[in-house]
Order: sequence, then structure tokens, then C-alpha cells
Amino acid sequence: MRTLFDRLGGRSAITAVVDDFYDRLTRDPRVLHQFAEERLPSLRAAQVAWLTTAFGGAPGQPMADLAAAHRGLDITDDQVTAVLGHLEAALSDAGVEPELQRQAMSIVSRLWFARVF
Amino acid sequence: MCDKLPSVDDLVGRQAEFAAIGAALRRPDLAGALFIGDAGVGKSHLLHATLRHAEEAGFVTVSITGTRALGDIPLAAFAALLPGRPAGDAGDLVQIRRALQERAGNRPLLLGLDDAHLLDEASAALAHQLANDLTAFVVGTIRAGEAPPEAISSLMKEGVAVRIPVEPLDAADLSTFAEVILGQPVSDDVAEQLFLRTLGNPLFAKELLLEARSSGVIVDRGGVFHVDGDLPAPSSLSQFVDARLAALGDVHQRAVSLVAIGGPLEIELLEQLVDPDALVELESARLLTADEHDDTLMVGFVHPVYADAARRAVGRLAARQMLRELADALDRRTPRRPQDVLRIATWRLDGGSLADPSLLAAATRIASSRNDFDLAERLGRAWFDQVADTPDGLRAACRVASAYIEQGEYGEAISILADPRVRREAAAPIDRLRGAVIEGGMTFWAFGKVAPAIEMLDAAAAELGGAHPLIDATKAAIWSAAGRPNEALALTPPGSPAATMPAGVASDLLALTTAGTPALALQRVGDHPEFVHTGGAIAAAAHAFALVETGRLRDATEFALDGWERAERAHDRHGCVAWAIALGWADLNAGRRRAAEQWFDRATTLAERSAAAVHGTRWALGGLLLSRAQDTDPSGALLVLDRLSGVPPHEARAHADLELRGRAWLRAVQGDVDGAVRELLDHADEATDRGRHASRVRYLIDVVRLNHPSEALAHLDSVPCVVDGELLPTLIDAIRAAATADAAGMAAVTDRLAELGFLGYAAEAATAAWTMVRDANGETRTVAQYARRAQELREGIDVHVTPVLAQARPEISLSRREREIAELVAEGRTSREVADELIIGVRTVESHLARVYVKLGVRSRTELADALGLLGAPT
Ligand code: HEM
Repeated sequence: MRTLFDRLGGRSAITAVVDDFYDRLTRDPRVLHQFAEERLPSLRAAQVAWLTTAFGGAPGQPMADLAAAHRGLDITDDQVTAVLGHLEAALSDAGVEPELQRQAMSIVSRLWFARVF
Repeated sequence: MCDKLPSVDDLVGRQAEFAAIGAALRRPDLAGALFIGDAGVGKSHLLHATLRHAEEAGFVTVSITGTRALGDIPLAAFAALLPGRPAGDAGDLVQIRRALQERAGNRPLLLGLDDAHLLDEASAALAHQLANDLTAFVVGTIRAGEAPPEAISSLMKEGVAVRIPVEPLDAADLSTFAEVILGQPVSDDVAEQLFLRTLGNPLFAKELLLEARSSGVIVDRGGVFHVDGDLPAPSSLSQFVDARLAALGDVHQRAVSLVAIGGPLEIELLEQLVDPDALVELESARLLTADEHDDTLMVGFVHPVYADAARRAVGRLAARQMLRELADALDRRTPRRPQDVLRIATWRLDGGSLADPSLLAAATRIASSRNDFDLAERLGRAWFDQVADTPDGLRAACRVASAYIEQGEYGEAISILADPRVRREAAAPIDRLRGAVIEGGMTFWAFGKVAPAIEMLDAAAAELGGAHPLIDATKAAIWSAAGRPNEALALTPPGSPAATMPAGVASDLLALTTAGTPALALQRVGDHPEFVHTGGAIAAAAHAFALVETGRLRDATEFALDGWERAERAHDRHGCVAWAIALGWADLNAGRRRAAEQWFDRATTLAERSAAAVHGTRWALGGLLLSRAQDTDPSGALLVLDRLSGVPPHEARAHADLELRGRAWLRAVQGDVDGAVRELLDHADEATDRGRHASRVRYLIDVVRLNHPSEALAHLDSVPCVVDGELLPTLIDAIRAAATADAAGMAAVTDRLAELGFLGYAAEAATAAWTMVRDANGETRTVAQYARRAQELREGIDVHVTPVLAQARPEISLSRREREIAELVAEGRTSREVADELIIGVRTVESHLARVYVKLGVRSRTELADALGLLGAPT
């Protein structure tokens, strides 16, 4: 069974999706203020690494702890919906087929909501 | 959405297990976790806390419980989760999955499976799938020592789910637990005795404490419970439960026994047999509980240990009597649902009372239609014993024989049909016909003999006064499976009654496909849309084969996957074999070698215990052999050959074509290419004589793939070959292009095959096209373009390393400098920028670049980037 990472198109595809994802985030007034401009380049890289591991592209690799990374940010339900929506749109615009997209989103949303379990 | 942790204070001493489930939820490679531990250790409690906790964290949760209630509709527990679904309608897998996905929206879904070891196989299979396709994270409980359904244990074997052992509590935690139960702390004495008695089992401890408090063995002194004497001394939870049940009054005991014997029971049913007040009292005594199930209130035990204990406590004679009472009570109820018929019949049978033959007949039919052949056999036998010497005897025998056949027990099937009590001459003609069809079919499908099967069917037809459509359709199905499409098609002329029977449609489909006209075959089925549902899985799998042969590879895979899911859910082992083989065949054609071999392997394992034991096993092993033999290393194929030698022969043809091609490939791989080619040409000629043009083309294309195109062409042109669809004509074009070294023709074949998804064939065609232009000393740029196409198709797919591919490896090598420059340009640098960076002249850069363009066969910077990507790491 090929990993989700491979089926999504590997590293180059993930990088492209994250670029688009961040472009969308930084244009959205609902979440824009949460992100510090100077952190963006390193965040993009961290996001690529995180998604790569989440999709099985780097087995055994430790993942950033989402609970710690977002502590104190006062994130609202609305913002979560927005962020997940942007990721989904980025996958969709990258031509990822719907079933694959669903599986990818399912992992991300589980890992997000399980951060405070 | 804040970061607070939801509370778990009612979970004493379970921090480790709770941390483990949290960690599992945060592991991207997992899709499930299973709590495993002894009865009463608190697995369900942990599961419910997990569900609650997950909901607070933002998950959507659903939960089902495994029961072993008789007559449960497979998947009923799942279907009950869907709103607006009529009771009793199980819905289908696809609907259930979609509904769950919709319910979850963009939230993650957590699926609880309490008592997963008691799940029916269909529900277990669905849960397995929901985890594997990431629809849900599955959390289940399994009692230690119980064997869960295969689908659940395979989640653990495949590494999709982790097991989380749930151990008894330690002494300190048990004491805290006691305080939570009683609402006040306990003295050290109580704590110590409690631990010694229960060894940390929380359910045991809770029962013991509540009992001790109500009987005054422990008393509250100044806010602490002290013990007055000794706690009750049962040595185990089950002993304790036994004692608790034994202490019940007669009325209560009767109620408990009925629920234990009959499984969860409808409240109205139970109220007919016991005093409703007793039920209320048992509920408040925390023994029984009522749950909504498919819009009906069902009464069961609060914990499975009680069901086990109560079942143990009922004597066999009492149990029989209760079963009869239950059957009578359910019999009075209307309307009667299929599962009621099953329960009444089984209860009567187990209760030792005579069941009405018509009830048994109906129950047998229901059990068969649910693929519960064990039960069908038992009920059918009872029916048969009552009616053996009546005109219905043969019909009952046929039903039972079919159930035996489905389980691969042919000897039993033959002997019940030959039972001396059966009076064939008294049976209705339709039943005599059925008997003949079963016997004839078995002679071919199970024992692999064509001529005796046909003779048997002819004799039956003669006895019944001439031809009959059912006989003709059955004969046609046998002929077509035996590789004789002409004989088959002659029996089912379009518009004839035989051609509209499921067996007839299946036969046409297979016959027309092997004859080389799969498109016509599909058109014929198109006239019988109901066929896919009524024709059985074997027939529907033939549909998948037709789709492959006509070139609709993706449709074939999708259709077969759907069929596989349906067969798996319905426990249709026979169907699973057929679908797995169809999927293996589709993957093999798509150039997905590993996946193909997995499906064939799976089919082999399943076939060994199915109605299609020999035929299915040979077919699956044939596919495996064909795939493994196309390799430079013969050892994998030799192992398959070894397995094949242990399987009896069978005169069916579909598997033989795969097997024979595999044997020829193996011979080639072992060095005797000429011998292999001769074999293949002989088989091609035999296929030509029998009118199997699809097989003929496949044999001849193998000859081309072994580098003998002119022989292939000669055998192609010997007898006209009429084929339709997309694939077979393209393969014929390939034979011609190869024989005439027509590179452009081969390139067109490549594109067509790639477009259709036949990537293995496409990669070979592209490689052949490249060799042709190279050997014809074509222009360097053209050669490079062909090389690139070949390389692109070989990239990333696990195609077979056949001689064509092994000997000819298109390789493009750039010098270090050329590569360096090409990469910079591909990144978007201008020649000027490159020159500055490398400190060389612009002219030098451009002349290097010109050479690179020629070598790679590209014309633009964008094409350059793509081509570099294919080249991989520098050498
Ligand atoms: C929905 C799923 C989400 C995922 C998978 C995710 C993932 C990540 C990852 C991997 C990091 C980097 C951690 C590190 O390596 O340091 C990060 C940081 C960050 N995330 Fe998210 N995030 C999600 C939702 C959100 C939301 C809803 C917001 C708020 C609108 C948000 C705001 C931030 C911010 C501001 C940082 C940077 C913190 C810093 O400067 O260190 N994230 N996220």
C-alpha cells in the first residue's frame, strides 16, 4: 500500500500545497493577525515537515506538538474552520482527487482535535 | 475551542491507558486502538470515557456494541445509526460510509466498538474498512482470551490499530475506586480485604462493595467505611456473579434465564412470559437493561459476565423448554420479520419441538440468502428429514445440497441428493430440473469434468421431455467456462429463453469476451441490467473481465472493488474469490504487479475453503504464476508451480490460459526462449481453433514480448481475427508494428495503451519503439524523445522486468557540466545569469545547453525541467 504522502504526489506536491495554503491564510482577515510576518518562512517549512510526517512520508519522525505550538493563541472554532477550509481548498486546487483529499483532511483534522485529548 | 483538558475523574487508576489512547489518536500511522483485558476489568468504561472525552475535544463519536443475538441482520447496528432508515433494512456499506462521513463533516470521527469480539463479521468488516480508508478512528474493546472476528484482529496484525492492555487496578487505586463507588473512603482493612478478594478487578470490587454495604458487612463509622467481620468470599468474579444470580427469587431467575437463552429480547416478547414488575426490579438491581435497537426496545444484560453466568446456570432441559416458550411467544407476534422466522425456526429446533416444514423451508431460504450456510444446512436438514419421502423431498435436498456446496462439502451434497428416501419421480418437474442442474454443475465446477457434466444434463433433459432453457443455460455456462465459446453461444441464441436466464447471460458474457468481442459482450449484458444483481458474483466478475478485455481498465477496477466489498459484507466467500481474481487481473494489466500478486494470493487462500475450491485455486495460482514468471528471477514462479502441483486438475479454461502463459514465461526466463515461443504459438493455434480470439491475441503478444514478432504475425494472419473494443485491436496493431519495425506505429500503440491504463504493456511498447528508432540510426533528438517516453512510462510503476525491458534500458547521460547548467536553467536562470554564476562565457553556456536539448530530446525550458526530473540523481 503506498502511503498517502506518495499518492498525494510526494514532497514537491506537499510543498506546492503548503505554499498555496499559506498564501490563503495570509489573505484571510479571520486568521491573518495570528501569524507574525517574520515567522512565516520557518512556519512554511515546519508545515511541510509536519504534513509530510502526518501523511506517512517520514515514518518514525517526531512531529511538532500541536498543543504546545498553539498554546495561548486563543484560537476560535471559526478560525479552525477557516484554516481547515484553506488546506482543503489548497489540496483541491492542486488537483488532488476527492477521495484522497478526504483522507488527507481526515488525518489532519484528527491530529488537530486530538492535540488536547 | 480552548486548550483545557476534559475531566476524567471517574476513571480511577487509568491514567496510563488514557495516555495510551491519546497518544494513539495523535499517531498519524494509526487508525485504531483496542482495549484488551479480562471481564469486568473496565474496558467498556474506558471506551465510554474515551468517547466522552473525544467529544469534548471536538470529535464526532458513534458507537456500536457487539452481541451474539441470533437472527441479527448483519450491519444492523451500523444501520441503526442512520436517521430515517426503516427498521430491519440494513442499508449498504457505501450508504453507511457516506452517511458517517457526512455526519462528521470536517470533524474527525471516532467509532466505538464495544465487545468487538462479539461483532458479526459484516460489521467487523465494515469497521475494518472505515479504519483503513480513514473514515474513522476505531476504538474497541476485546475480552482477553476471546477471538475477535478476523477483520478486527487483522487491524492489529496490519499495524493499523494498537492494542492497549487493560490490567486490574493496583491496591492504592482500588481503594480510591472504592471511595468513588461508596461516596466515602474505606478503612485500610476494607481496602486490603477488597484487594485480596478481587485482585483489582473493578467490576468485582464494585459488586462486592455494594453487596457488603446493603448486607451490613461494611458500615459507615464517622465518614469511613469499616468492615464488620469478613467480606463475602467468592474466589472470582464469575463465582460472585453466580452467587448473585442464585440469590434471586424464582420469578426473577426465570426472566434472567430467558434473556440469557434467547439473547437480547424485545420487551413486548419478554413481558408475555414474565411479570413486568420483575423486569423493573431487575433493572434497578442493575442486572438487566433496555436499549433502543432498530426502533425496538431490547432487553439485555448490563454486562456480558451476567449473560455468561446466567447461561451456565440454566439446565439443559429448562433451556429447551424456554426455547419452546420463546418460539411460541414470537410466533404469536405480527408482523413477522425475516429474523423472527429464523429465530422461531432455530428456537424450535434447539428446543426439540417439531417445527412446521413450511417454516423450516422459509428459514432455510432466509439463512441461505444471508450466506449463513451453516445455519441453512442445519435448518434445511431438519426440513428435509420431515419431507424426504414427500414430493417436496427433492426440493429440500437441493437446498441443503446447495448449502453444502457453498461450504465446499461436495461429498455431503452428493449423498443428500442420493438419499434413498427421495422419490424423484414424485417431485415437481422444476425440482427435478434443479436437482439435475446442481449435479451437473457440481460435476463440472467441483470435479472439473466437462463431458460427464454435459451428459448428465442431456440425460435429465431427455427424461423431462426434451430441451429446457435452464438446462441449456447451464450447459452453455459450462461450455463457455471450458473455453468453448462457439458451443456455448449456439445454446443461447439472442432472444431465446436460455439467453435471458442468469446462467445464460453469464455464459454469453464470458463466451463473447473470450471470443474476442468483449464490447459485444457488454452490450449484451446492457440488455439485462438486472443481471449484475441476480447473476451472482461469478457472473458479475465475468463482467469485470469483459471490461478489462475491452480496455476499460479503470471501470473494471472500480466495478470489481465494489463487488468485492459487497461480497465481503455478505460473507460470500465464493464471490470474494471471483472478485479478488478479477482485481488481480485488472492490476496485472495495469502494470501494478505487487497489488496483482496480493489479490491473487488472497484469492488462493479464500478459494481453498469455498465452493470453487479447485477451479478458484487453480485460477488464482495461474494469475500468480503469470505475474511471477515475468521476472529475471524464476524462484518466485517455481514456488507457485509447486503449489499448483498439489491442486487437482480441472477442465475449466479461464485459469488454464493464465497458467499456460505463466509456464511459457518461466521457460523463457530459465533460458529456453525458443521453446517458450513454440509453446505460446501452439496455445495460440489451439485458441484459434476453438474460437478464443482474445486468448489468441494474448498468447501472440507474449510472443512479441519475447522478441519474436514475425512468428507472431504469421500466426495472426493465418486465420482472420475479428476483435472489438479498444484493447485487443491495439494489441494487434502492436504485433504488426513490431513485426514491421514501424516505430511510429509502435509509438501510437504506446500512447493508446497508456491512455487506457495498461501501463506495463505501454512501457514495453515505448521501449520497443525506442529500440526501433535507435537501431534505424534515427536523428539523435528523435531517439532521445523516444527514450524519454519510455523512461517516463517505466518510472514509478512496478512493471515486470521482461526481456524487452531488461535488455533495453534507455539511458541518457549528461556530463557534469551539462547537468549543472541544465539544472540552473531549469530553475529559471537566464543564460547570462548562469554564465556569471559559473564564471564562464555565455556562448559556452549556450553550446552546452544545445547539446543537452538534443540529448534529452526537449525543445523548451519547461520540457527541460520535466526531463531532468526523470533523470534522477546525477551519476
Ligand atoms: C487545523 C490544523 C492546524 C495544523 C495541522 C497546524 C499546524 C501547525 C504547525 C505544524 C505549526 C508549527 C509548529 C512548530 O513546528 O513550531 C503551527 C504553528 C502555528 N499555527 Fe497552526 N495548525 C493548525 C491550525 C491553526 C489555527 C486554527 C491557527 C490560528 C488561526 C494556527 C496558528 C498558528 C500559529 C500562529 C503558529 C505559529 C506559532 C509560532 O509562531 O511558533 N494554527 N501550526
